[in-house]
Amino acid sequence: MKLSDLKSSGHWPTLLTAFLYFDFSFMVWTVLGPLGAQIGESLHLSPEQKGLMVALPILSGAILRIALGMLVDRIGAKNTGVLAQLVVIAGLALGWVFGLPTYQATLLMGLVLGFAGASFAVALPQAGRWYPPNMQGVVMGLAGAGNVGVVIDSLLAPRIAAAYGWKSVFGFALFPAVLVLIIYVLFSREAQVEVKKKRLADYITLLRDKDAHWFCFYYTVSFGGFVGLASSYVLYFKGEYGLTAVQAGDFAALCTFVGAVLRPVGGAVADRIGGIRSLYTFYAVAGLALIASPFAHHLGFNVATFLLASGALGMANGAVFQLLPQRFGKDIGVMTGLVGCGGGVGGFYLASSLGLAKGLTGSYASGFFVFAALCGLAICGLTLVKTRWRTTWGALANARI
Amino acid sequence: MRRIACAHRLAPLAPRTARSAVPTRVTFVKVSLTSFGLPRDGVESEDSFAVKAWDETVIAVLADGTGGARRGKEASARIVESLISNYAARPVAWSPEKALTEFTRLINRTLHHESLAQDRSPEMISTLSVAVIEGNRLYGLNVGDSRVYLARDGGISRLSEDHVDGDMKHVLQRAIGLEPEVAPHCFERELSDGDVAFLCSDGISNVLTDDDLGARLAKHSAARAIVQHARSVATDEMLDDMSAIVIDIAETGKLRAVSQLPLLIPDTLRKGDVIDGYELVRPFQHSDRVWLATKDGQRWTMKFAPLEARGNEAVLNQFVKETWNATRLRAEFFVESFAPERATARYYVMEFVEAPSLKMLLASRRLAVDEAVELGRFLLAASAHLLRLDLVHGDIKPENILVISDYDRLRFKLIDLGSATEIFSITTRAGTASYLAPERFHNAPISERTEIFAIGATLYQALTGAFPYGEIERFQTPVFHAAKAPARLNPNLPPWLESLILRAVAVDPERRYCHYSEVAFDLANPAKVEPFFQTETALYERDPLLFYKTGFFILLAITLYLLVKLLSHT
Repeated sequence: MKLSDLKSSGHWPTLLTAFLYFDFSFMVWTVLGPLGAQIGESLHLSPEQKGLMVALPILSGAILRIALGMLVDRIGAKNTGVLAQLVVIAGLALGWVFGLPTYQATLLMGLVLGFAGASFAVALPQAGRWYPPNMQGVVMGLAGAGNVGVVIDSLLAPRIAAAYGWKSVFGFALFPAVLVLIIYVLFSREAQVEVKKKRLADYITLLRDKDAHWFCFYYTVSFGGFVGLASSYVLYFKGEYGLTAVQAGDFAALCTFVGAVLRPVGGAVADRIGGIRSLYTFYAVAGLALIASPFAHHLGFNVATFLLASGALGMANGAVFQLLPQRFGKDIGVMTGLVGCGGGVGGFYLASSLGLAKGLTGSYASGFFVFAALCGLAICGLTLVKTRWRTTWGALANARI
Repeated sequence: MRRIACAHRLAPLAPRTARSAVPTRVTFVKVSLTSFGLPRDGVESEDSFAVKAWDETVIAVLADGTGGARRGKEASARIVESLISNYAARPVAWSPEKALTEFTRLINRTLHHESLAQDRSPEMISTLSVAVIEGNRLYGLNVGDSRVYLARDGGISRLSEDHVDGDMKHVLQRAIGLEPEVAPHCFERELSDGDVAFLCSDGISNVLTDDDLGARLAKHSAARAIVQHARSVATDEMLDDMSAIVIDIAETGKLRAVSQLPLLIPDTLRKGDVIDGYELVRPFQHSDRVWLATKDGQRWTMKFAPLEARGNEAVLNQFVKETWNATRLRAEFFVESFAPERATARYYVMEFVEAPSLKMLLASRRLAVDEAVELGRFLLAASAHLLRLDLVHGDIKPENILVISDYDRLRFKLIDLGSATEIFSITTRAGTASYLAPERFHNAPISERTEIFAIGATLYQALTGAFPYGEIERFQTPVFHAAKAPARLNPNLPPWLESLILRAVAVDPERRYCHYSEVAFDLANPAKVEPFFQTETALYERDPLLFYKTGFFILLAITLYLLVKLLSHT
């Protein structure tokens, strides 16, 4: 398997545009995170409100993911992608022209940005359907590398906001938005393959499987933790250490980058030493790092614990997705949507609970502790799944793959 | 696409004459069967064929082993035998078409992988054509260029499809054993009284035209007459193995009204539920689909199909196959199983053996050495029994072994035949990861060697309580390091048994025992067990004598060198 194979088989312009689209979408999806501190200041928001503001796009993205996933099967990936992008552009334009005058306006903005977060469900299948099964891993990895969008975001958004005011960030985001839309419309093509339409009933059938519940929960913890932390870092560093928005953004970018880059490493580790065994380690490390975070009253030490937490959670994401296709075989499409939704809910929970904890108790500590407890719960769940996997008929699950 | 020339027959063995020409009368369907085979001059025929009839079923199978492949004759013989015996014992839940397709795929996989493992290239290749009569319907399939015809009212129609190259008629495009997967051509016809079904190898169809054949079949010619006629018109270069089967259907049978009751897969099972007279008492702890039940004061174990079997055909198939295996394999090694005739739900019943599994026993104690030897003997004997049927258990592990205490000794039963499968027939990781031979993580087919690994790992665990290579998870691709010597975990272990177990679980399949009989021999003759050393073992431990010898010669060389130096200086 060489990268040059990507050029000869499938349709590389689609792969590239899917990557661009996904990358850009991820960038705007979490844009409220790095801007949270500045928006909060000018609107005089409480910590709870700030937490909810950065968390809402994650939640709406998670739910829209399932909706767009079903739309893709009906009106095609390209149409869905263009539609979602138009909604996002409209939202950004309104934000730029009118600003976000009230708290309610920021929440509305969060809902609209959810469409960008749902791009996952559009870009991945669109690129994936062009390629044969043996290349799916690489294609998914390439298209999925769009997670780096969050990093770009944390680096650029605070700087632009500091120079031109946070309203203009939406305006600046419009340039790549329109550019990506044009490239996407011109160069991406729909793969001519028969697709079995996903129905709501399919999701419900899968939800009857106990393993499906657990996988949703694992991803709720790992991806939820990863994206929830990514959205909260700027607020946290700024509030706790009095950094400028730009400095806080840089640290946030560092932690997030490590998590995004380690994701495939986590998948490889899971294949070698076993998914459950590796998840045990990742969750344990993440849980301990989260518990240690509020006690680290030194910036460097605190960044180290966050690096550990984000890194471990990022690797856990990869490990979950190493197990998922093997366990669910042909239902993987539906399962990805379900699990992705779980991840979004987790992110919403973590981001808003950190704000809530700060507002209610004056410190972020209890928010971190509760999330560390979730990591502990995930570890208990792993033990349960492990015993069941050992006793269910070995040949059975293999027959499905 | 790999191509195999099948025009040249190269089997220089004793000539074989007609196999059977005796018409058989069948009770329900009134048919007469004739079959006849004629080898090419002076060489053994590579064709194999057989017919079997019982109740309302007639099955005729004809296979033509290809001469280009070295083991063509063996292939055709095994195909015929396996299809007929499998079809005779087919799971009732499978339609004739489904059963034929499944069994064809199975023998294809088996021959392909076995030949790859033994000859390094597919050498067991053959065509196949099958016709099955069930009451008043004819079902069949074919792969390759052996044909199936149906003659009716003086006309003749060809049901089979020739899988040959368009230009070169002697090059097969599809054959059994050629590729890992095969797509047979299936057909189905309604029969009426007076029809004649005809199967023949290409030796005949290349010589006789369809019209000629139709005319002869209309006159109810016997197989022998048709073959001899073909032989008489064939020119020398057209001469080939010739075989034919004629099924003269005098009167079609009325198909027994097969009870097409949709078998239920119960949602939830509760204590006190009564199913077909069996009252559920309690589930076994590891699964809510396996229950202890009572009927007429007797205790039974019931195993129900998993809930997933409802919407998922693969899972349902798996359960049907498990039921089939469990009910047809009757031997002292297994628990007695049966599927009630008038069942209303998908389940099968096993005799209830009140005994813990080896796994449960191991939670409280390790096996003593003589008990472990007994266990080893039992597992090898059970595996050898399965092997005689071309089967392997596929999931040997302590959970699947029941331990019955008889006064002063232990008896064992092997349970869960759900993974039992034809040897060489699967290349997946089916089974339990911790007992899978290392090569099976890299798509090696299941074989005696991989089963020996599972037996070795089970013995290792029975004596030490640990896995030889640590616990391995489902979906993991592990790296194998040398196993910890079991005697370090259990000092009672004699060195010969340690060597035997380590040789059974060797990472490199070439260093492992090859056959059950070799292990059984070592188990019975401790004095003859050769010590086994894993690759990492130091030379000093592996062969102290060689170590000292080598050391001696090195020192001698140095001494001589120094001596020469010394002498040349003076």
